[in-house]
Amino acid sequence: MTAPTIDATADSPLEGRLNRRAPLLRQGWQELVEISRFRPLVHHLVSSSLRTENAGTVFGFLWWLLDPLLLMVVYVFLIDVILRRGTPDYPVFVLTAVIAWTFFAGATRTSIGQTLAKERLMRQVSFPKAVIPLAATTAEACHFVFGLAVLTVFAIPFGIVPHPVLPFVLVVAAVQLVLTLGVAYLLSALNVFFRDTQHLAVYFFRLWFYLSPALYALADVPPRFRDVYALNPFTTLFTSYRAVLIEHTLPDLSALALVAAGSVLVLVVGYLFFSGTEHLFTKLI
Amino acid sequence: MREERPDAIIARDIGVRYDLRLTRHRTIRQTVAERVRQLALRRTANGVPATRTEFWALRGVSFRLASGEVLGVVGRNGSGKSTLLLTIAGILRPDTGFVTTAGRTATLLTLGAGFEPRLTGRDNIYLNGAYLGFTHRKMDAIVDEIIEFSELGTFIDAPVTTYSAGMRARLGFSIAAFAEPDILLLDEVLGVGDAAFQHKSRGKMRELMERASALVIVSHSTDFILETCTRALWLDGGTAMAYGTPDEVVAGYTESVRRSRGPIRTVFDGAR
Repeated sequence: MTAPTIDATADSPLEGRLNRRAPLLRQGWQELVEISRFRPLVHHLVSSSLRTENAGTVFGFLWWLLDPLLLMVVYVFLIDVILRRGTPDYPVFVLTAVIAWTFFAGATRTSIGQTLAKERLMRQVSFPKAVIPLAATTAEACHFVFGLAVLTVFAIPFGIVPHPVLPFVLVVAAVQLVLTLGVAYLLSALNVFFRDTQHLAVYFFRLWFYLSPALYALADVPPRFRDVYALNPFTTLFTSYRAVLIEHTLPDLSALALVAAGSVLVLVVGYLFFSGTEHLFTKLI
Repeated sequence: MREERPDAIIARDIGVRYDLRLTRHRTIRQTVAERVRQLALRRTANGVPATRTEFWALRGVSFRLASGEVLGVVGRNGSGKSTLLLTIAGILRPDTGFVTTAGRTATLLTLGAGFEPRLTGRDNIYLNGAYLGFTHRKMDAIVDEIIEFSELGTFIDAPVTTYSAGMRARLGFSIAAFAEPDILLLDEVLGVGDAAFQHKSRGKMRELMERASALVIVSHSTDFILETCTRALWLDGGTAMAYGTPDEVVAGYTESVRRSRGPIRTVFDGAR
């Protein structure tokens, strides 16, 4: 019976791969290459979630339209009709924030849910787990782009006609995409270890929404709180969306650049946390 | 006396550690805790008593498999056989040591694991292929063969929710079978579907086994190992007891099983 050891002197092409521990940057690059190799998987996950999410409902794809509009109706009723704090274009004003926030909160929620739902699969197939939050966020981004199109049409009766500055909204959306993906990675990984995350996130996000100038303008915020508000990326994001979509001006670019830099940082931290802990996902349960 | 063939798998000193504090699902936790208690009684093979917070499913396992070989893994329940397969497949990352494989590995454990029930069988073939890292074009090339082999006929364009368990299993097997891995990993040789399909799937399995550059098979059947394998590995308590020709390894394993029957019963009697 031979001892269970291997012959270390033997020369083999595999041997070369065996001892090489890639440095961090190189390893990160290899991970990105691997994720991009799985682009078809992202594509299939996105298209399957878009096709099946409203299966069995009477309105089907109409829900893409109804979801933000019904939410807007609730807020308009509350703020404009009951509290009488609205302005003539308040429906457009609040719909802008609702659509953007739905993207952020929805992408995070589905990322958390899908990462858990795919746990059984993770223990049977080897694939880069980072594609799951990426696909969930991409699917929500599709809703968001659709919502923006609806918004521009919805705004016309309010006297807000499409303007050449409109395409700039995609720059703001790109910044939000980076931030959203970062938060989705962070919370998805955290939730695998602490399932409480998904419950806490619901309340945390609700509070965050109300503390952001979504239902009200930044100008309505008492001046002594403005500095604190400036720390919230959604202050800049909501204000930027409204500048482009409603006021037809370029947003405050220095504030947006700052949020963009912060969002990149969140994405790097979120992704590193996810990729650093993903090998433990299959060891849980 | 080894022939000069390229390596298919090199495993060096691989260890897989489970942190029990990270395991929260009760039933499995109890299972693992049970296992730890056993280990604490018997001590692990290398003489280190297992602690309560961690559990080594594999420890210091090394072997080297040349291409063209069929490796059979034997051992009792909980000896780390499945963990070894998952580690070779890249699903579990070893906490110590390294494992490298030449080419793509696949397990047939995968049967239908990634099915999205609301999508059609055809869409699920593409989705499953994507999980395995295949391009859309590659799937276009093999999708018809998969559908034909699965014998699902027109049902292939119906949602998978409407399938019976047997239909799902057939589709799952067909996808896995046409994925054609370089290194095939099998956890027990499985039978799927009715008698006719089982016959067909066994034939396909043999074909896969011939075409794969190397195979690793976990089996409780020592006869199967002796018949099919060219190398064998015996695991016990997560460590490799022997690695060599099937005859020698299986002889050692069966001898140890025979010898240990008495003492184990005594332990249980004492506990009652």
